[in-house]
Amino acid sequence: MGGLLAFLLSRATGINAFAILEAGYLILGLIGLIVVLGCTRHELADSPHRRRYLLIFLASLPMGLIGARLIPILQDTLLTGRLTFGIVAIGGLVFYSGALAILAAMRLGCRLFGLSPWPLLDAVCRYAPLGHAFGRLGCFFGGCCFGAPTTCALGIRFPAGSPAFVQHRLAGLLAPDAVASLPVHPSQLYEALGNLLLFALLAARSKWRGGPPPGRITTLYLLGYALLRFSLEFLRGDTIRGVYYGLSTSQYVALAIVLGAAAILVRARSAA
Amino acid sequence: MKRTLIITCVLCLTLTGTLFAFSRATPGESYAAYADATQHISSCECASCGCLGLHCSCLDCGRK
Repeated sequence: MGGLLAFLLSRATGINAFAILEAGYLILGLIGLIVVLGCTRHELADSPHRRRYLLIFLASLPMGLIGARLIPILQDTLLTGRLTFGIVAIGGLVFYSGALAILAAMRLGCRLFGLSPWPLLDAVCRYAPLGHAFGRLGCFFGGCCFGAPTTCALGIRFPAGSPAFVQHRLAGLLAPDAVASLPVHPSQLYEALGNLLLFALLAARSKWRGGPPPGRITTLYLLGYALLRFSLEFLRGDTIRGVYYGLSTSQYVALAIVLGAAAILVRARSAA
Repeated sequence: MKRTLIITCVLCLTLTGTLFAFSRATPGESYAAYADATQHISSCECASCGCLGLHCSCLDCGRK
């Protein structure tokens, strides 16, 4: 969708359309990161280890990038039956594995510094949905992570050259002179709204009964996002994300996280 | 902080609504003009950065 918007802006302003497209996609992603970083910094303002926590947070970001590449590399390797430099170096990013890698790296970093990981993890997880909502707007702008074809009133068409358009064309669903994809669910916007709702719920839980115990916000975020992601994956239409035995890769990850988070919550309740 | 968070949420919701409204309200001629402009661009050129274009990987572009 951003391609079309960039094209129209380019015609109006004379600025290169690809520059507008890439700037829009990157800016929305960066806004999400800045929101999480800024809010985490504010949340840790009273901590005597604030500087160390922020250093661990920043040092964990490259691990997130590596984690976000893992699933595409694995999928491409399985697809081709070989692992090449091109497969490792070029390709997309998956939010879920990236987020989990960042959280694991932060936990490891805290352990190395001899700090409790929960002040940092709880702060990051409390604001992660807000930042992620902006990231999903970036996805909508870029046209990736699109939804399944629909006839409902919310259906939108992505322009020529977009991932949705090309997938539909390759599947023979479009007429030769088609200028847009079939109407699809705006799954990116659904997830942006779902993340905002999750953020509101976590914010409410943070204020409830004098605040949650350490680690609770992290567990609730992982559980809440897993439920959101598992549900919304049924409305996704991009086949490139990998679907195995009726469920996508992210749904398998979400299922594992739901089970783990639920076990932690049940154990915490029985211990209380 | 509370005010900043409210503004951020409102900004996010506004952007969501604006992008949805844009995609619903853009006339067919604009889609046609865009299709015409991108007709000769290969998927690799579109996929200049990860998920921006056709593929989330360049496997099908011949770049190994």
